[in-house]
Amino acid sequence: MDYKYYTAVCFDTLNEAAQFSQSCLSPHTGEDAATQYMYPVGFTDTEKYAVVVYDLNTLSQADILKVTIQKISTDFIPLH
Amino acid sequence: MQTPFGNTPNTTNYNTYGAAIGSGEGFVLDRVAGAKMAVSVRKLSQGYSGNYARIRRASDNLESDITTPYGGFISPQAAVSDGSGLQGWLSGADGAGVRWYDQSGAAAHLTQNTAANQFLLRFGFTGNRTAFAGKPLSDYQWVYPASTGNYLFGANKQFCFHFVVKTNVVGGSDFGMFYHIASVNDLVRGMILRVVGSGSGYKAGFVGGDLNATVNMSTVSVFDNTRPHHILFCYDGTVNTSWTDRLTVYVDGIASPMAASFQTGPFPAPLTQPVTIPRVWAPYTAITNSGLSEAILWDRLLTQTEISFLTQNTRKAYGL
Repeated sequence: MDYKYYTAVCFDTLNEAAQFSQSCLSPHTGEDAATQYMYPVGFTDTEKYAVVVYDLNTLSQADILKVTIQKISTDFIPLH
Repeated sequence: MQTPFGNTPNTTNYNTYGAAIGSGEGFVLDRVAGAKMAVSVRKLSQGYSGNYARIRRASDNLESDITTPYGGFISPQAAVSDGSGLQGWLSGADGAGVRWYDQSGAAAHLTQNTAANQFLLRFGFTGNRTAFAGKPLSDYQWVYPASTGNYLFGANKQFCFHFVVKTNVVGGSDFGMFYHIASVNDLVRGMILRVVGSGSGYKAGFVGGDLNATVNMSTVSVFDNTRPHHILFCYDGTVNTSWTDRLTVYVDGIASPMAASFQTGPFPAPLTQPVTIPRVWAPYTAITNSGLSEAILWDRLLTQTEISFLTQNTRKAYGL
């Protein structure tokens, strides 16, 4: 399993991570859009769930303060 | 260097190529029947009237289906749901692949719900044809429906998997066109069909097993990574002489001998379905650009006549 360093926001559960990724996807105007998540979710080397943030500018100022550099498996978790 | 709109697409309808039936003319799914999953940037059967792909544009996250190909292919002039042209709807930006519709009738669509993992639609990527391709510094992947596993895993399974791929992998990296494994140390449960970098090109590779027995094999030949190839894996799980005897791989229509680089455990052994989600795996480590234009699965072995047709048809369609 490969790990790389990413900027990310960590969560205790997959559900919380998925919800955060979902909240980043805006504006979302498609009526029946299939895309639900903005960023992928992976496992850190300490087995926490982490949302990999590619573009800090899409986050609120409060969320930017939660971003840390994490070592994350490149085999991201597929979200449905 | 490919740019999204930098190449003029070849708009000649592919099924007008060729002189006669038998020389590659016609639609693939009409002449090689029984596919269980078939996604492509081209129309694959005369009777197909569904959508081709769903794409998202980044400017407003709107999604639209590509409804009508142009000259038989997804091209800049193809139409989207509101009737406008694809290139205009995207306003010159990249489209991101949300869903790649199955043309086989089995509703085995490929999906990717996470924006950052979506492949980008690249015109003129595979020869003059379109592909869904990755770009640097990301990890893009299609998710296959779980139904594909039913055709691949278990005792005595036979299947053929065909891809049109362009990738610039080199030694030290690989691109998994079908990636469905769970692993425990050196043991693998499931299967990967991939191209694996070797020197300045790549080999076609197969990894499979059931956690008791594992094999990792790839072609002896190394293929040029500067141009697209079509690759056909034919697996016959009823053969009990060796792993290498079970698999025949055709690259651009030529059977390419396989050599096992790693093998452990008893043989014969089945491929066993892992409890993981199958996908196209493009780890961004060392990969700068990999893309697929077509992927078709049959749950049977193809005849030599069908393989010959598929080869000629694909070469004509993509200019390989």
